[in-house]
Amino acid sequence: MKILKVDKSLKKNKLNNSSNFINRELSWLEFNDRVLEEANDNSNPLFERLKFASIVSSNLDEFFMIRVASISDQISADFTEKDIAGFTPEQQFLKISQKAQQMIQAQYNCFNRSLILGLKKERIFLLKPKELTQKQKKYLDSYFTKNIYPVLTPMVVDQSRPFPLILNKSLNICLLLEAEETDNEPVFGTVQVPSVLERLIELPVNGENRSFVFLEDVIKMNMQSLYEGHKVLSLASYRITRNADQGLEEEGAEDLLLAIEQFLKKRKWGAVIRLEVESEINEQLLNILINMLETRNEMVFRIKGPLDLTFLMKMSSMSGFEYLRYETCKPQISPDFILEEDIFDKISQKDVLVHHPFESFECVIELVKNAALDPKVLAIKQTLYRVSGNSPIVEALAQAAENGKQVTVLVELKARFDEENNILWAKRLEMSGCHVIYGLVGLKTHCKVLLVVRLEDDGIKRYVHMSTGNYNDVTAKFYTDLGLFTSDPYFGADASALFNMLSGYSRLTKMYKIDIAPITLRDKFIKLIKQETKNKQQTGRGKIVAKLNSLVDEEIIKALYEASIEGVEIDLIIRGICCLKPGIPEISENIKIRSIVGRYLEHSRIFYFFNNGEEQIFLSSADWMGRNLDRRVEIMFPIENKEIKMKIKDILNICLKDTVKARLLKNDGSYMNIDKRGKEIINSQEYFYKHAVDAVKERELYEEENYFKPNVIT
Amino acid sequence: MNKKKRDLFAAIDVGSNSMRITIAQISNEGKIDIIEDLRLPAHIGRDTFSFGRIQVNTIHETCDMLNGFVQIMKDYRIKNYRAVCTSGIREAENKEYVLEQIRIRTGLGLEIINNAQERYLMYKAIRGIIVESKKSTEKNTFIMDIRAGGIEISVYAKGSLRFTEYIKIGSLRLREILASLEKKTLDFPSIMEEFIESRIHFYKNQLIEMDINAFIGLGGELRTIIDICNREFKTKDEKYLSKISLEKFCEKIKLLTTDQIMGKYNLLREEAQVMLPCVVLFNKFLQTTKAESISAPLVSLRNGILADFADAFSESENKNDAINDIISSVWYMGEKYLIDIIHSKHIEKLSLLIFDQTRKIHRLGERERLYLRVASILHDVGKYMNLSKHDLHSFNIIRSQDIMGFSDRECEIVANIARYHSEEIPHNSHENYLVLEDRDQIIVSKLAGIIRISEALDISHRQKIKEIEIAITGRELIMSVKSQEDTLLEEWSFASHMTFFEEVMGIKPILRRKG
Repeated sequence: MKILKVDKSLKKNKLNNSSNFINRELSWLEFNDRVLEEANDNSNPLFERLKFASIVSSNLDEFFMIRVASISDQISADFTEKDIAGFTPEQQFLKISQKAQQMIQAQYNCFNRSLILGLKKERIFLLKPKELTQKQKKYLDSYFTKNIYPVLTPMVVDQSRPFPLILNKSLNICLLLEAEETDNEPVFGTVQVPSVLERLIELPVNGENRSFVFLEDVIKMNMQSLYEGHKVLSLASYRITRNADQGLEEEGAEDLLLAIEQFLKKRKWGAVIRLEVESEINEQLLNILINMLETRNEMVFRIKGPLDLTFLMKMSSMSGFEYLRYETCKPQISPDFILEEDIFDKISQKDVLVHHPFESFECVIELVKNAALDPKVLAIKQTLYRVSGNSPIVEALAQAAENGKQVTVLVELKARFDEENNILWAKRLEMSGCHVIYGLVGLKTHCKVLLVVRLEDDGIKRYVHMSTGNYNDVTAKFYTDLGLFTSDPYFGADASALFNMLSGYSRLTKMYKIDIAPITLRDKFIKLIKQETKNKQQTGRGKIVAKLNSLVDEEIIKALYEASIEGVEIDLIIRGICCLKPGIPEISENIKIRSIVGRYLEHSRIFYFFNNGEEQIFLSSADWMGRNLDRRVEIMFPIENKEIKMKIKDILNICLKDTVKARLLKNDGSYMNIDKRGKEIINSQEYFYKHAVDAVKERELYEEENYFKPNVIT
Repeated sequence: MNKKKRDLFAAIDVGSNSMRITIAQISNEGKIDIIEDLRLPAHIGRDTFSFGRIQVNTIHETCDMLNGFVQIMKDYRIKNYRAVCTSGIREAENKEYVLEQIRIRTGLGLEIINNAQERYLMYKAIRGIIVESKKSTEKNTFIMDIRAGGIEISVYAKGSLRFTEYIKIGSLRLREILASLEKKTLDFPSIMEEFIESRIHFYKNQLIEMDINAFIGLGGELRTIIDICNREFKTKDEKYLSKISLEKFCEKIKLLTTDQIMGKYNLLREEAQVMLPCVVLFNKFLQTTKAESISAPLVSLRNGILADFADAFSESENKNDAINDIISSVWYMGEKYLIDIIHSKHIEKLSLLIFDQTRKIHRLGERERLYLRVASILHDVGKYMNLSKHDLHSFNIIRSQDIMGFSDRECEIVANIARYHSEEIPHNSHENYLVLEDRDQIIVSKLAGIIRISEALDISHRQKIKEIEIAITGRELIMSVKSQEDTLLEEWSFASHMTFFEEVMGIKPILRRKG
């Protein structure tokens, strides 16, 4: 026995070895590969594949603007500290470049060989200039003169005119012009492809064919007319991605709203991180770009096809072609909300769990709308992180304030890339008389809580909704999330205390059931994992199942390794980044990790602990990342209702049984298909939708059967 | 008819180091449900204790914080609230400006309360807890509150307050007094114990006789002590500190220096410094009782304020309990000054009888009745100093007392009533009378009028008049008395006091002897 102990402590020492971890950025790239896999998947409807291809691009844009930008900042600052996987910033930079180059190649292979062909079969054509007929050319000439020409700003670079500032993520055309005196170097010119115009120009319909031309191609065709008198020697499209991770200088920023408005202006001018050019670009032109934009060679991407595939998203929403999309799955009403009862009565009777997007988000909106009108309601408090444009929730809150309710809204302005939108509706709320609070300095408010305070016949009663997903009616249609409605007074008291803290009215007082980051949540997770490890030692049984979006935090990974060493069975369902390396002999052999990427974006965070048979289940807004646990306000809440616990256990089990959209993480950080042999074929997301439909039918049938029966009280 | 009624109340405490608000729902049965409890750190005490006045920035900060509290009150549409502040603002030179700023900028009327009111509210809060566990009403309960300057000890027996004392051996004070000794001896804890022993010796036997079997502790870092003991001895009591744990911990801590205490138990210097005196004090007093543990109720001023609201709102029995506590403590005070108890009881009885029978005439309320009652009990305390001018001495003694639950103003009123119970009548040349508000002058005069009649009727201190009936006819107040004895002295005295009564009340008292 003693020997075993020594053995174990030795293993624990080995935990620090960097080879036990996967680099965060590379892991993210693997995740994006999974998205690309969906674009390649013939069994997905064509237009959905276009969407996936587009998402690969928009994901990469954000990745370069934030993550790669941060690594290049580290390199510029001569920062050489290694990451958890043992790579210096420079090493990471090179590995990212290599992997990203491969990915983009694969993405364009998919686009050129598969998607374009697919579109052709549907008689949708993306035409190149040389494929145009005379008639079409004529049409485009007049289109150019009328619509494009007025919004173009052709520029040249010479001694009196410096290189212009190129907008982040804008598409541009660069060109070389013949110099006026033949001995001189050619002149460099650039023109932005206007983002106000549609990227694809549709040509007049010809029979059943629908043909499109790229805006940049039309500009190129007419380039000579823009630079009259100068011969265009060569031209090419290019696009840059800038550093947008300008960490907000909050200290001393008295007015957060103002600071963010200023930051937004600043964002356009971060350093250039990535340069995309069309592959046939003239070397001289390319060298000028690289020099002027100060880009590293590794971050120059030669693209075989149109730059910036995000236009595919727009294309996939083209009217008609319903058969090229997923069958519509209308979110179902949660069976608990089927009867048209007072929503407050309903929640008073029992806790209700809602599984989005299979079950509708409408009930959340309904709760806020009812609260706005209900005479018994005194106050509404809500956190808002990302909301949709014309959000019905924002509207209902404004309405409530106008009806004389005390409405407190905690708006997180720092939700990345959404700031502009956030400021707009924050102002709308303020105008209506809501108390709008802009979060705590230094901490992003990421938790999703809604509190309604009501004065009922038997006193004050609090209704709480807590969720893993944002209060956004649009994303609730394609993010998988879980939300809990409850009138448990302890949750009510905790929610009040949380809002008092967030609004600066109070220090955090004792919490009954909710754990809060950055205060107790990290310790709670570690405690739960360690408890499971200890249980395994003492009783021989231990099991952890967790579903989340990212696992990056070193302390948690090590705790999981220690649990695995003791033999705790660990199943993780992690959609995106995972720095934990599974299957390391004697360290992580008991850990299985799968990633589900499908029609809906996996977003719920669920944590299950066997706990010697007294199973504990928690839902949370937090991932296992340092930023969630240390720099954001997050919550985790226990699920106590037995029925709901069963429901969540089912959800976890089905996710673990997914053979279609799930992939197993391998030791090298890449993903592999599930071995389907001898297994039932399950697509978890389809299963959940079917389940939601059946549940509604079942409930309706039940209600019908019981309609005429008198209520017998036994 | 038995429909439950509920209302929401807020209690705000602007303290030296923190500001707190508690929002509670109180039913007409007197049940208090806490809905919200908020706390923010404050710097009022720091300013007052180091500069003597509250800095402008602190006033801004305080108003901002209070505005948050006001918003929470709005959330619940609260109309009934009481906001109090204690020494932090009380001792600031610019307190009037601070209160005015707060009133203008937050709309909150903040009330400065004195030690006696603080104590009254704390006892109210504890009483709620004592009442909750029915058994303890049968117990003799010892309450000990360790503050920085002194300790407050009291005993409740059979549901009423029997004993209350303030001894100047507070935790910080002990440290300061004995600071010079700390460097001269290796056995500082024993010296401290000896010193404490010398100060409490006088009460010790009294306490042992009272047969105490329950012990409630307040202040004195008690919760920190319980936390440490739980860790040290692997116990899990949140609200109790057992005798054994305390003894063990006391022995342990005696061997440690302040720095070691800080390090070992992870405490701030301020906490560690007072740890030894607190532990020794609790231990010493616990030894004099038969209680097996110290219970540490989570009570605060705010609980007291809410309990006060609950009594007013619910018209429960507790209201009388609170009055009884005040009266018991007043009797205890009187006994210390060796008053003639039988005489005082008689005056109390006569005064209240007259007061109750003449309500239509004087139109005073319950609170004023309480002033009369307290003044009746204490009117002769001045005799302890000197028989001549004893009324003046009574005035001085009473105004220097902490009468539980009485504000400074109320104490002055009672002292004034006592001053005018015998020879002198209020006059504008008396400064003590002149400084009173107009309204308070009337109260003093009316109540003095009543107490003077009572005093006249027992001028011999022999309780000759056992029964008295009062009737109002026209502009006369007929007092028919029965007595077996010769009451000539009383009648003569009555005649000399009736003019003042008539002047103040507008009705002429007539004494009639019946048999």
